[in-house]
Amino acid sequence: MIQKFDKLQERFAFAVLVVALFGMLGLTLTNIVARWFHTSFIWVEPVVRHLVFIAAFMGAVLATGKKTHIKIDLVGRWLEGGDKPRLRKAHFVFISLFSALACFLLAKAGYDFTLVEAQYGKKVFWGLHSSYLVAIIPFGFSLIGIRFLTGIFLSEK
Amino acid sequence: MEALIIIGIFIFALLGGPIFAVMSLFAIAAFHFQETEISAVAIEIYRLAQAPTLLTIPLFTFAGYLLAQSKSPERLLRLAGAWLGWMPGGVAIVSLIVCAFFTAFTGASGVTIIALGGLVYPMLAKEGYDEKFSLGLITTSGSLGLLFPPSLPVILYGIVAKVDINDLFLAGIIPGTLLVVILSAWSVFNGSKEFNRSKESFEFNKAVASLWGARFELPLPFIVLGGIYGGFITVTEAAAITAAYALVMVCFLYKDVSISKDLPQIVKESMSLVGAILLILACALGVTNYLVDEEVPMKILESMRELITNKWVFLLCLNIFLLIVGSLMDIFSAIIVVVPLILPIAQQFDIHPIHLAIVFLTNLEIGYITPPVGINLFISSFRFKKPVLSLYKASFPFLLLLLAGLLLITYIPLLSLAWF
Repeated sequence: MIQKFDKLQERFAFAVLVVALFGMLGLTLTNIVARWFHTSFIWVEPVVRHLVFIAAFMGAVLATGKKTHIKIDLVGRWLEGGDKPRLRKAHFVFISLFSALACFLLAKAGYDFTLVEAQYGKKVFWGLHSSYLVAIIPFGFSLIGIRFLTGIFLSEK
Repeated sequence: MEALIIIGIFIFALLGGPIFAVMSLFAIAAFHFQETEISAVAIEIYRLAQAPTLLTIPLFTFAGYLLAQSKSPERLLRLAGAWLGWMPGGVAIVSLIVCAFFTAFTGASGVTIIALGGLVYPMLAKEGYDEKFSLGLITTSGSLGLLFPPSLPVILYGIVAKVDINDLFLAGIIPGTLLVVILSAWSVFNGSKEFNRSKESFEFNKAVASLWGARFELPLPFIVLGGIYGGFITVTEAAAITAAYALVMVCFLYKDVSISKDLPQIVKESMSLVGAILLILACALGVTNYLVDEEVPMKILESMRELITNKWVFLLCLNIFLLIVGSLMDIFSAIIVVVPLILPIAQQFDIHPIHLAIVFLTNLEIGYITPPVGINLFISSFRFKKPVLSLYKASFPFLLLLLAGLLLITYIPLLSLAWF
């Protein structure tokens, strides 16, 4: 069940990443071509910036699954060197739990910000309200936090 | 209580907590102690969505991974070997140049050693280079092209320090070339020690064939450099054009990369690195703002005043400090965390921001092979299945040579500022 859920999360992140990556690529190229015809689409720039923002979170969801987040890995390397499975497991659970805690606190911070933005924000591009864009933060961090937790259960198997 | 929480976060970092989580816990704690709403952290994170040059990071990284996963490394090595292989030390020089090219495109993320190590190592062995030299060369060249455009650490430095990225690319060319020349000279010295070594002879037909083989790769540096410095495109547009060109080249022209089989994996690999970097950048914005608000750099400066009296002593101390940082932290976190702290101090010592950038990045480049924990040493150990200790020994002469280069770059600012 957890494995299925984790796979689903991975697929979702990957699908969003593909759209974001090729979206930012296609839109930037479109604007270059449009410039040859002395025109440009002013909405392209903010859309692309937010696609990069989304890609950052979805890429981080994948990095969480692959355990490739950037870290000072002295202890991890030391633990891998010897035959210390219990200590290694305890270390992994400790790191995952605290990382998940950080993500959920960030998601809470993002949620609070989204509520403020919903009240005082404005419409940006395509008639989209800025609070929807800010909501990427709590959504993204929640996904990453959940992935840290599912990682603990999956490592049991 | 406050001290306990900070110590707890510090222990979490030392035990290997992801840097982004460490940063965000620190930022949340700091804002909480100040009785500021924690949504302030999210406001700082959202600033990431306002940086227009950020687009260059995913696109150049994607292009770099596409090149690394294709047969481009083989083609470029064949090309460089056919043209330069006849020289004493030629094959080693070829390896250095091609590795530098790949590092510039893949952002010194260890991809160079993984992608090119397996190709370069047998080439060097065939030429009669001993194992120690070959391993040292490959380990070192995994970060050698870091100062050249369109290197990811240079872009990141520009974003964090608010220095023009085009200027940084330009400034890195002479110092970057100097480091390649120093290591090439060392390779020539090693290559000419034994005269009975089989050297490749120059064959015109082979050279032309290799040129034709790499016909689609060759325009890439010209697109990036010519486009930006010719004033035709901005650096973000150059990133989009490079990514699109690389995609068309490897998927449709050479057909090295299968769209259904290989491309999804390349997207995953490159974007998970991008996600990891950008998340640190996002979470660090809160921390660095807090530190700057609290005037931490100025406090460090005040405490240093008695020990460090002039700019040259400051630069020397900076070198030592950054070498330690570079060997302990990865380059991306080091840039994000340390640059905002160093920048105001360097300003007080009247150091040109572009010179500081190049000194900073060169230090971190060398940090990759600095024992005990320079990351390239571990990547090579993993790639070649050799004990890390043997890699310490193998890369030591290269480390000394690069340190000599670093001193030149630090104390001759003209090397970085010749264009300005």
